[in-house]
Order: sequence, then C-alpha cells, then structure tokens
Amino acid sequence: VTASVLPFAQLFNRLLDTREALWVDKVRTWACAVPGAHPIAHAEAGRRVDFAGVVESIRIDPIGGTIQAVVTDGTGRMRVEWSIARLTSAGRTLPGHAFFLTGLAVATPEGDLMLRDPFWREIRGPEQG
Amino acid sequence: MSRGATLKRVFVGLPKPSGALEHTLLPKIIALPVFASDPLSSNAYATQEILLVLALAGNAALSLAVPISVAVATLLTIVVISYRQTVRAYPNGGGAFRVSYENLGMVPGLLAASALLTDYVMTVAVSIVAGVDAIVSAAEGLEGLEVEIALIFVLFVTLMNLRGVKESGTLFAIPTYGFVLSIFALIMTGAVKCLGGCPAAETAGTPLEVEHALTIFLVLKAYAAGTTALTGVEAISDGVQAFRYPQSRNAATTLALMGALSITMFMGITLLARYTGVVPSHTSDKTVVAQIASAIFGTGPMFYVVQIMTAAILILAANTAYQDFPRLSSILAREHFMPRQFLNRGDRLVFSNGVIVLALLASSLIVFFKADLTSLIQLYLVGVFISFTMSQFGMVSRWKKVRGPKWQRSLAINAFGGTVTAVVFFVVVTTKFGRPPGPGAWIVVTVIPIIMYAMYSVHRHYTDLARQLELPERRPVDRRAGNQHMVIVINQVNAAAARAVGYARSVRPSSISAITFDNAWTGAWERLAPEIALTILEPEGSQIDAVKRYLLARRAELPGDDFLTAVIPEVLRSRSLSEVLRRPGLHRLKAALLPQPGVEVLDIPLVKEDIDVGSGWAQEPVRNYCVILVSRVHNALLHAIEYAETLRPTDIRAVTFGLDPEETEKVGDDWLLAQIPHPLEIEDSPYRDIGQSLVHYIRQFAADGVDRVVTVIIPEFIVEKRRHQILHGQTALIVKRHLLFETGVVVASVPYHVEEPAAAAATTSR
Repeated sequence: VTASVLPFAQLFNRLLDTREALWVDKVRTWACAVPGAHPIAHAEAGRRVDFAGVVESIRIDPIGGTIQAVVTDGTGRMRVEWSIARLTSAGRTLPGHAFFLTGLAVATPEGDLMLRDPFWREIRGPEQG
Repeated sequence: MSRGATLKRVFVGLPKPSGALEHTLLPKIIALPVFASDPLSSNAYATQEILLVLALAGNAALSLAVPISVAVATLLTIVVISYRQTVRAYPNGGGAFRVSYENLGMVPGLLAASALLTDYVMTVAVSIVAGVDAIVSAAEGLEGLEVEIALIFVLFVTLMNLRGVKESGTLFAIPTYGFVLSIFALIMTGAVKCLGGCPAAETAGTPLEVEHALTIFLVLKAYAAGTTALTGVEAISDGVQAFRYPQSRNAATTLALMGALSITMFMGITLLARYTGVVPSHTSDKTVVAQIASAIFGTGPMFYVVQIMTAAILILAANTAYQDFPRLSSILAREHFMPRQFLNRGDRLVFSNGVIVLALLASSLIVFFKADLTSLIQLYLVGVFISFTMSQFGMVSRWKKVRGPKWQRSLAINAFGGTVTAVVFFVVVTTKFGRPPGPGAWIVVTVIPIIMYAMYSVHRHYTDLARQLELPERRPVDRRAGNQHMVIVINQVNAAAARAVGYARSVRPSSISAITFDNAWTGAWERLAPEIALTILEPEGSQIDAVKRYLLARRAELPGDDFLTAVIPEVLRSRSLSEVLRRPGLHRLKAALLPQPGVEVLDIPLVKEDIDVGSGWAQEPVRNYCVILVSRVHNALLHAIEYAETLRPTDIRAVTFGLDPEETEKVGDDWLLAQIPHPLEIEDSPYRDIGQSLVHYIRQFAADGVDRVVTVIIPEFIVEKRRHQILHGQTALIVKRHLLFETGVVVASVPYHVEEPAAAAATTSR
C-alpha cells in the first residue's frame, strides 16, 4: 500500500513545494553528483575546499575593484571574490552559471566562509545535465 | 502557496528554471510533428481544392489534376530549397521577417511579419473550425454547438502549449505521425491494388455539368487552389531556435524531411484520386481522401483510422501556429517592433504572452464569424504568399551582397522561387477576388497595413525613448544631499504618519512641510511634529487636484535641480490585495502625482499588525538601506541614483536580476564604464519572477520599519500618451504590489518624463 501511495504523495508534495525549494533540491542533487566535489556545508576555515556550485548573485564593487559572487551547492553558500581585472581577463560569470571551485576558505568578520581569487572552471549546471 | 498557483501547476505544470531552456529544445523526431502539422495537414484537402475547380469544366478537365499537382509539387520543392538556405543563413530564426528586414528594409520586413502574424491567427481559427466541422458532420447531435466546441479546442491547444514546447510536441506527435502513416498505408495499398486494376471510387463516372470553359484562367485558378499544400512550409524557418544543436543543420534536415513527406503524400493522393476516378462535388458528404480510403480499404477499420487521423491533424495544424506566433512576436519585440512583454518566458519557458494573445485573437475570430469555415477561409493564402515572396527576394538581395560559394546558383533558385510565388500571390488574390469576397477577405486586406503601422509606431516609440535616455543634455547633474524637499500628505495622524515624520527627519531635507484636508488633525499634528508646518488645503474640485496644485506651486518656488518628494503614509489593515481595492483614493493619488513634472512619490505603507505601540512615535530609523532597481544604465537610472544620494542613506546599492544573460552582462559593463560609485548586485531569478526575487533580496536587511528601513527606488518612465504605457513592462507595478506588505520597506518612484518625438527634437535643438 505504501509503495502505491508514495508516488502520489511525492507528486502532491511537488505541487505544494515552493519554487525555491524545488530549485535548492535540484542544485543539491546535481552538486553531489559532480566528481571530486565536496559539500559546502562540510567546508572549514583554513582548509582547502573543492566544490561545485551555482552562482546566486554577483556584486560588482567599482570602488573596491572586486567582483564578489555568492555560490550555492544546495547544502550551503560560499562567498567568492575576484579582482575585477583578473575576472574580466579570465572570462565572465553571471547568476545561474555553474562552476567547480578550488581554493583556501577563509572566515570573514561576519563569520561566513569566503574564497579569494580561487581556481575555477565553468561546468555544465544542474539544468544542462 | 496560493490556491491559484497550485491550480496553475496542475494545468500548466511545475515551473522550469531558465537554465532548463536547453532541455526544451526539440529533437528532429518531435520537431517534425511540431512544425509540420500545418503543412502536412494541407494534404488532407489540397487535391480536393484542385479537383473542385477543374470540375467546373466537366469530367475531362479532371485529368489536368496530375500535371497541376506536379507544378504545385515543383513550387513546393523550390520553396523548401529556398527555406533551407534561409535557415542556414539565419540560425537565430525569424524566417521571412528577418530575411526581408535585413536585406530589403523595414517596410518589406514589416509586411512579411504582419502577413505571417495574420496568417498564424487565421491558421488557428481555420484549422480548429475545420476539425470541428468534421466532428459535427459525424455527430449531428452537436450541430449548433460549433462555436463552443471550437473554443474548447482552442483552450485545450493553448493549455498544452503553455505546458511547454516539448510537452505539446510529444503529445501532438502521435496524431501527426498517425496521419502520415495512415496516408502512406493508403498510398502503398492503393499502388499495390492498382497493379491489378484500380478499384473505382463511389463517385467514379458521375457526369459533371460543364459550368465553365477550360481556360488558362481556370487552370491558374486550380493551380492557386492547389498551393494550399504550401501553407505552413515557412514554420521551421521561424522556429530554428527551438531545435537541438546544431540548430541550423537540424532545422534544414527537418525541412527536407517535411518537404519529402508532403510531396509524396500530395502526389500519392492526387494519383489515387485520378486512378480511382474520384469526381468531386461541393454537395458530397465525403471528402476526396475519404472517397479514396473507401475505395482502397472498403469500410473496414483502416477507413476509420484514416478519417479519425485526418480530423485530428486538421485540429492540430493549429499547433504549428502556436509555435511560431509567440516566437515571431518575441523576435519582433527584440527588434522593438512589438511590446517588450512578448519577450517574457512563462513558467514553462514558452513565450506565454504570445500564446495567450494568439488564443484570444483566434477565439475572437471564431466567435465573430460564428465558427463559419467559409467566411474564415477567404484569402487565407494571401499572408503565406506575401511572406514567401518577401523571403525569396530578401535572399536574392543577400546573395548579391554576400557572394559566398556558388552564390549565383543560390541566387537563381531564390529569384525563380520569388518570381513564381509572386505570380501565385497575384493569381490567388485575383481568383479569390473573382468571387464575391466573404467577410474574411477584408480582414486580411485591412489588418495587414494596420499591423504594419502599429509595429512601426511601437518601434518609433522605443527608438525615441532609447535616444532620450542617452541624451547628454538630459544627463542629471550632481546634487548635494541638501537638495531634497519633502511634503507629507496626511490623511490621518496615525502610526504611518508618524513613520513618515521619522523617515523625513532622518533624511534631513532642506525643507519639510505637511498638508491635509481636515483641520481636526491640527492638534494631533502639533504634538507629533511641532517643527513641521501643517497646511490645511481647500479641496476645490477634487482632493487630488488640490494636492497637485499645492505641489505645483511648491515646485515653482524651488531651484530646478532640487528634488521635491510627496511622502504618502498609509495604514493597511491586512496583507491582502483587497486593501488596494478598499483604498482606491490613495492609489489614485499616487498614480496622479507620478506624471507631475519634478515630483517624486515616496510611499510609506504600514500593515496594522506591524504597529509597535511600545516604540516611540516618529522615531528616526538608525539605518536606511537604499536599493535602486536597475534594468539598464541610462539617464533615468542616473537620475534615480542622484535621488538616492539626497536621502542620506546608510548604504546605497543597485540591484538587477539576471533574466537575459546578454543584457545582464551589458548592465555590468555599462556600470563600470559609467563609473558609478556604488556597488551593483546581480541576483539570480531562476524562475523569472522579479517581484518575488526582490522580496527575497530585501529580506536580507531584516528591516523592521523602526530602526531599520529599506528604501526601494524605482526609476519609472512617464510617457505623455497613456496608450504608450502598455509598451513598458509594468515592472514597477509588479514590484510595488510585492513590496506593499513587506515590513519596513518604503518605495520611492522616481519618474523620468519621456517627451513625444516632436517635443524631444525641439528640446535637442535648443
């Protein structure tokens, strides 16, 4: 009985889930499947991190000369910062783009984790399969 | 989630993020039925159309059906070859419009576009009504309900298309392939049977009365009637971007496949009609295809399969138009010939505004003509042949310019094709006007120039707006923080009025005043804000007029570069949109003040449940975060940034939502180029819902309205003509609706007045 009811219950839940919840679920499933990636939730300050994530937002700061991105993998968020000159020469990043990032996590004064000028490569995102 | 949203999910499906666009691209096997249902369905009646014309000259003339069909098939081949060249040359789609616009100019481009748009609306109306006719003739009990049934089918096809291109394509692939297979079964069985002597159709040998001599004109008329087989051939060229990569190659392959299927089916039906001796009649219950099927299959199950599949394909021919109308509208919107709203993708990544507009237009036609096929079908072909001709001559012009490998051969094919389609266009027009034109005729003839003019007007408006937004003489000057003047419009002295006083004090403007209509509030005001003068206005005429007069007089006293802000506090009883309906006066006031030159409107809403009786009234917020909404970097935005700076905020930041990657990248580049000394944040909005994404973004500030407030600054275009307002995305309205009930959020509308072209030209020359 449970087996026959379960798909309907799942369908019903999907109908009621918020779009954001559906999206986070999708990103988490995708990020976990990227080879070599570890969840952001397990990252610690002072240690090297390797993770796959989707850019949620970008902050262009002309005064500070930096571009900051907030990247999520569905388990957590990580702030990533590049200098404008370095990023424009290396390529472009926009919300929705997916990356594999490697770098040393540092703690910000607010207690968040952050990567400065990490190694990165664009990969196929959760929607591209 | 609201009930409406749940219901929408049930009918339309779960929303898809923008990144999923690649998943919606069609493989050739789905693309063929999606784009070919219209041209393939033409085979159900093209042969019959030829025979009906030839029948006027008696039985002997029917033998001409085969050579005429060969001529039609030749034209179809030329058109297919030509469109294969088009899809390779224009991988971004746009078909006849793109080719004509880029190579022949704006007027031919608009002619092709308006002809195609009209044709798509007609395709939906005609194909669905034709399908309904077939159903009603089989089930006589439904007679009289044609309009209702047709509207139900329109609703069904619309909903299926709103679910997504791939979803509708997969569903509609079954009847399309079913029709193709059943006709091929008919042709092959017929061919085998004919080896031992063709079976005779039930009308074979029926004598026909000679009503018309067999003239060249009659033959041309039969040829024009047969060219209905070409309808919908252009569909693939409009929708190249719907194909999987490599898009051009897949589109060209699908086009070739569609051409081969169409020609084989059309010639097969014509030959079988000839050899089974079908004699057509306007009064016969059975179509030509039905008569052939009856002769070949008898009255067995295959006969009914052919009939059912034919009825299904007639209805589904509408689906091709549902693919192309929204896509072409979006291409036209990108070129600023149609309102920008046609660029928006819905929950399932289809251009849902285009789908809905198409459904509404087709439904209106069906209702207006009471689902009468004869009225609707008049001059149905005109739009198709205009677009064919424009497209072919556009390609001729392109070959002359580009001169790639073997360009002379390509030019010759297109020139020949263009000449033939132009001749057919004149034949179609002449022969259709040869009989008394039905009401459908004037629609096409009048609507095409009207649409062209409307598109030209839209383009002129957007082009002029873009020019005004870049004019160096309208670039705002630097203001000092003190150049701000505030007028608080008091309805009642309540918690919202107190918040407004606190907010205004925190800004430290050069002047603050207050106005009201009821002097009963004088005492309460004295206690609340003794340093702010309260003026009691006399409502001569309406209260709105009195406020406008006061602001106009105040504006006249101030230097031109100073800002004058009308601050409007309001208490909302609940977080329900019915509040907007309950207090229409206040919303009318806000709407009326926005067009006032030199007046900004600052809305301070306060929901009753957020009123904290313990906190001090008129408390100045400690932190005021200014968030400027950005769509592009232009004069209106720079003006809004200047405005934000005069509010003495804790922090100014600009935010944009990455709906279109190209545009977002441009905003980022322009932001750096303009050397704006504030950060720009680019937020993801995977479901393309700016209102909800902005609310999500604002909540990071944890505004409480007392200590922390967020001022959202919206640059708004104010156009002189009210009808032009529809050409703007209504983003401001959507955002205001979402922010109205957010705790601690104040919304400032900073208008940018757009002048009419003539006035703008005068300003420039000054």
